[in-house]
Amino acid sequence: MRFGCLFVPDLPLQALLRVEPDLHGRPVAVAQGEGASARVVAVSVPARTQGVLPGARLKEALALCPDLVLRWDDEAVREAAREAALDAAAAVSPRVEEVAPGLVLVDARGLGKLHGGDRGLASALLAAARRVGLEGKAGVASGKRIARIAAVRGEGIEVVPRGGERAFLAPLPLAALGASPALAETLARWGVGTAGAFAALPESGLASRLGPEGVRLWRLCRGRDDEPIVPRELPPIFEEGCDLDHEIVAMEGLLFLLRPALERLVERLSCRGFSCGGLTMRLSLEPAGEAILPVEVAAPTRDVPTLLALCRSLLERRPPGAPVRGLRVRAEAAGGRIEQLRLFGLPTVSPDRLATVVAKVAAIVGDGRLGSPVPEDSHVHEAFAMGRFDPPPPTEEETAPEGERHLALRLFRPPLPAEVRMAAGLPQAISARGVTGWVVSLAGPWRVDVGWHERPLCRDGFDVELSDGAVYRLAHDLSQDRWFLLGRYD
Amino acid sequence: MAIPKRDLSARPELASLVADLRRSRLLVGPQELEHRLPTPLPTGLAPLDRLLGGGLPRGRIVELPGEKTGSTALALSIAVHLSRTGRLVAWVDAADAFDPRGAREAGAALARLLWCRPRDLRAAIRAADALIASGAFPLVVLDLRRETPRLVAQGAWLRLARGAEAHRSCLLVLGEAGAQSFAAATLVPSRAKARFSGKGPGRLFEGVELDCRLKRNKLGLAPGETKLAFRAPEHLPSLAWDPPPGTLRFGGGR
Repeated sequence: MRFGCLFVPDLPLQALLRVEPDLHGRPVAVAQGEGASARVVAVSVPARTQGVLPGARLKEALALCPDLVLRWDDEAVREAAREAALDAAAAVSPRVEEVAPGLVLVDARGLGKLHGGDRGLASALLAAARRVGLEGKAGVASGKRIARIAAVRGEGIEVVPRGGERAFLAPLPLAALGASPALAETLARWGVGTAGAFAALPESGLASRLGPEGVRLWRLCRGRDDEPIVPRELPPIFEEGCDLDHEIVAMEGLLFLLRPALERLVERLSCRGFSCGGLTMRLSLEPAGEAILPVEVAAPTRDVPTLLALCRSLLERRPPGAPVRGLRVRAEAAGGRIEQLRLFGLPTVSPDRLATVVAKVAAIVGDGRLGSPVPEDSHVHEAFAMGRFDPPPPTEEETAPEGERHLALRLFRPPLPAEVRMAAGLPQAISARGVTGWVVSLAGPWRVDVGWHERPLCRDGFDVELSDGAVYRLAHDLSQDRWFLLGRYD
Repeated sequence: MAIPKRDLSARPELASLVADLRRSRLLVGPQELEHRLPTPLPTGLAPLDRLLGGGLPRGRIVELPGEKTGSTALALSIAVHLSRTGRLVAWVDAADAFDPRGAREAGAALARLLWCRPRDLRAAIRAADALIASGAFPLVVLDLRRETPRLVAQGAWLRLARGAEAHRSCLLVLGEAGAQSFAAATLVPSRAKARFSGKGPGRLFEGVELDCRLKRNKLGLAPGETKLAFRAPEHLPSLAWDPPPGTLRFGGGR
C-alpha cells in the first residue's frame, strides 16, 4: 500500500511568511514566550546563516543579527497554515491523515496514473502546498512511517521504490525511526546503531529481550510497515486573517490586508473543490471589542475581486467605528454546480462563470437587488420577490411562444399619489407628480380586496387614457380614500 | 502600398506602431473583422426581424428612445422570446419600473431573466458593463428611461459598445441616454390610439398598435417601418397558482 507524505518544515515561520510574503529572503525569526523566558522557535535561512538558531534568547538573536525581523508566534495564523497544509493534501487525495501539525499523510492507492507515478504524486503534493503559500517536502513509500521518514529526511522529493524500503532505512540511526531513548540506549550497548544493523539481527528472542516496541521497530527496519491510514474527515471551515502591530483606521489599509486573506481563502477552497458561498469578517477593535460583519454572496464564487468588492461595499455601509487591531475572514464552503455542457444546440454558460458574474453584479448593485423576478402569490399586481438566479439549461423542445404580444406596464415605485376630479362617480381629470391630464377613455373599476387577516388592502383599479396620450393604471384605495397612479403602459 | 512582413520585422518602430494599433483595436485582421460583423439575434417578432435584417445585431447597441410609445413592450417581447428559447436575458432596471407579473403573463421564462435594480446611474452602467463582459447574456436591456440624457458619459458608452462587440451581446437601451453615436440602430416606435372596447363599467382596455421606424442605421439596412400590435395585460392578475386536480379552490376538503 503506497502512501504519500507532505511535510511543511518550520510551520510557525511558514505561517508567518504566508501572511507577510514580503519577508521572504530576509532574516526573520518567530518567537514564543514572555519576558526573559521568550525564545526563538523558528528562523529563516538568512537568519540561520548569521548564527541565529531556534532556542536562542531574543537578546542573543538580535545581537547576532541586528537586521533580524522578529515576530511573535500567532496561534491563529499558525492554525490557518496547519489547515492549509491539510487542504493542500486533500487536493491530491481524498484520504488524508494528519500526523502532526505540518505533517500530513495521504493514501496514494490508485493515484499513480492520475499524477504520473510516485514522483508525479509527490510533485502534486508540493505544487498544492505552494498554491496555499507553503513550501514543503514530499515523500512516497510503501508504509506510513517510511513515507513520513522519507518526507522529513529527504530533500524536496524522496520516493522509496517498492521493495527498496529496507535499503532506504538501513543507513538511518534508530532514533530517526522513532525508537524510544531507552530502547536506543539498550541497542547502542549491543553495538547496534543503525536500522540496517538492527534489521540484520535474528527475530527469535527479540520479543523476550526488547518487548513489543523492539519487535515493531525491528519489523520497520526490515521494511515491513503495515499500519493502516486513519483518514480524517476535514471540517469545511476556512478561516484566514492576521493580528496587527498597529491599528488601522483607513478603509484602504483594511482592504489592503483583506485582499491577500481572501486570496489565501480562495486557494484553500479551490484545493478542496469548494467555492465561497458566504463570508464572515471579524474585526478586533481598539481598545476592546469585536465587529462581526456577515457578507452575503449572491452565488458561490472563487473570484477574489468580486469577494473584495462585496466586503468593501459592506464596510462602507457598516464601518467598524473604531481602529482595527486584527482581521479574520471565515468562508462558508459551497459546492459548485456541475453541469454537462453541450456539443450541439444552444451554447450554455458554465455555472461557475454565471455565479461569478452574478456575485460581481450583486457587489455593484447591493444586496437583494439582483436575481430572478418572482411575482408573489397574491392578487396585488405589483407584489414581487427576488429569487436566486439559477437558470435551467435550455432543452431541445423549447420554442418561441405563440400568441399575442403583451403591452408592458411600467410601475411607479412607490405609487404616485394623485388628485382626481370626479364626475358622475368616475375620474374626470388626474393630477400627480409629472402627470396631468383629462381622462379621455377609462376602463374599470376592478376591485381587489385582499389581506383582511394581516394587511388589509381594498382598492378599485382603472385603466385610464389621459389627454397626454398615455394610458395609466389608476387605483383608488378605499380604506384611506386616496388615489394612486400605479404605473404607465408603455 | 502594402508593406511586406519581412520589412516590418526589420523596422522595430513600425512593428511597435502596428502592435499599438492592434492593441487599440484600430487595426484588425480579417478573422477578427469577421468576428466583429454583427450577426442577427432573432427577436421573435417577424415584422421587426424583417426590418432589422434578421434580428437585433449581436455585438451592437440598439436604442429605443421615446416615452409612452410602447418601447418597453417591444423590449419585453424580445426578452420573452429569447428567454423562452433558452437564452439568458439581463434587464438592468435603472428606472426601477420593471413589472415581474406582467413579464410572466407575457410568457417570459423568469428563471432565465436576471433582473438588476441598481440604485443610481453609475451602478447601472457598471452592472451593464459587467453583464456584457461575462458573455453569458446575448441580450442586455438597459432601462434608463428616468434619467436625463447628459448623465451618461460618452466614455461609458464607448466602453459598453466595445464590450458588446467583444462579447457578442446586444445592448438594448431604453430611453434617450446619449448613446446615439454609439448605437448601430435606433428604433423609434410611435403609438396609435389606444383601443378600448365595451361600454360602462365593463369596458376593457384592449391594447395599442405601434408603428416602429428604423431611424439611425449603421447596419446598411434599407429604411422602413413596421406595424406591431400589443394586447393590454389582464387588470386582475390571474391566480398565481392553480388548485391541483381534484381539489376545490374555495371551501371543501382536498
